Order: sequence, then structure tokens, then C-alpha cells
Amino acid sequence: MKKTMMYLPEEMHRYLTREGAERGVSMAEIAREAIAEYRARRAADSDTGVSAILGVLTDADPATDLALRVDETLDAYYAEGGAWDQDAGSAHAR
Amino acid sequence: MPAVRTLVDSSVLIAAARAGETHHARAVAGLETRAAGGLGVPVTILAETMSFIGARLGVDQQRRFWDGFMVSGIEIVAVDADLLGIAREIDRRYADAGFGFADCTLLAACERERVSCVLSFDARLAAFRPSFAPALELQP
Repeated sequence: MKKTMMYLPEEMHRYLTREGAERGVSMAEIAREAIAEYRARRAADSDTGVSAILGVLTDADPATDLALRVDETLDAYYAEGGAWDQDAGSAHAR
Repeated sequence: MPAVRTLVDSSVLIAAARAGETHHARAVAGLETRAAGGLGVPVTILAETMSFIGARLGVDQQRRFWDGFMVSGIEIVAVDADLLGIAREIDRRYADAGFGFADCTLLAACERERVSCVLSFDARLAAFRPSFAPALELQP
């Protein structure tokens, strides 16, 4: 991730602080969610296509190489004793 | 909808969708560069991608990707009995290459649609030799 700094109106800053505290997430997380939603909405509005999926995942997982570990992640998930198994085969997702 | 000229693997879909991924910028550039030419994803790859996101990142993130994908303009390539047969043949021929089921269906789609360009970070796919081209062009 890239670190950046931005200026916000005081009211918007207060809102982000309050919202973050209520949800137990950082202001940065809320900003990422908002940008991803804005991006998806813009893409839908303007029919710009593929940009609708770019950066749309706003999870807090710190891993930076998940895209390279799809097979092993799914193998572990569905393995005996994995999250799927422990959840008795329900459609639960963490 | 233009004809599919490039097929996309789950690794690139996920890297493009997560800004924190090491290869995010490359994935974005690959998709944006080839979007106008027609992008396609076999339904098996889409299922793999959705399963991965749900299993690792949760259902809320899965729905975010789902919503985005529906307006992305990426064509979904059907996997029917004919394509499954081609995939199984690839699986037999490349038994030691480490391809999984979804990979084989992706390569079968390449073969049937005569698409030689694949967006993927899985270098194993380079072992595949299409019948209609000298080699598979793995990007980005």
C-alpha cells in the first residue's frame, strides 16, 4: 500500500473519526471502502467496464501475495480440519 | 461485446481487485490494456476466484467483487461438456505440470476459442502449447 496525506473539511474529519470509533475500524479503512464504492459506481454509471473490479476489495488482511496463493489457500480451506471442515461444511466464510 | 481475445486467470483478478497486492499495478495495467480487445473468464475461474475471496476475505468482500464483476464487461466463458472433454485431455497430456481442474478448463477455453493470450501470474501455465500458436502468451 502507498501512504498518502489529504486535507479534509473539519466536519468530514469528525464524521470519519466518529464512524471509525463506532465500527472499530480506522479512518483509512473507511476511506478505502468509500473510494472502492465510488470507483464501482462510476464504472457502472459510465459503463467503463473493467475498472469496476480494480481495488474493489477493501479487506484489512495485511498479506500482499494472496493472488499468488489461490490454490494453497483453497486447499487449506477445504482440507480435513480446515475452516470448511470445522464449520461442518456450511457456507460460512470468515 | 467484443470477441474474447484474452482470458483472465484468478491470480490477476485477485491482484487487480486488492490494492495491497504486490502485483496490483501489473494486474491493473494488464486488464486495462486488453479490455478493449475483449476479456473473458471461464466460469470455473470465476468460481475459483469467488470461492477464494469468500474463504479468505469473507462474504462481504466476495459481494463487493461480485458487484464489480457484473459491470466489468468481462465475458463469462461457459464450461460445457465439450470444453470439459478438452480440459481432461489437457490434464492427461500435462499430468506432471501441476495444472488443477480450473487451470485445465482455462487452457481448454484457450484451445477452443483460439485465444493465445492469458493474463495470469501462474508461470506453470507457460508449459502449455496450444495447437494453433507456437506458445501461450502469458501476461502481464
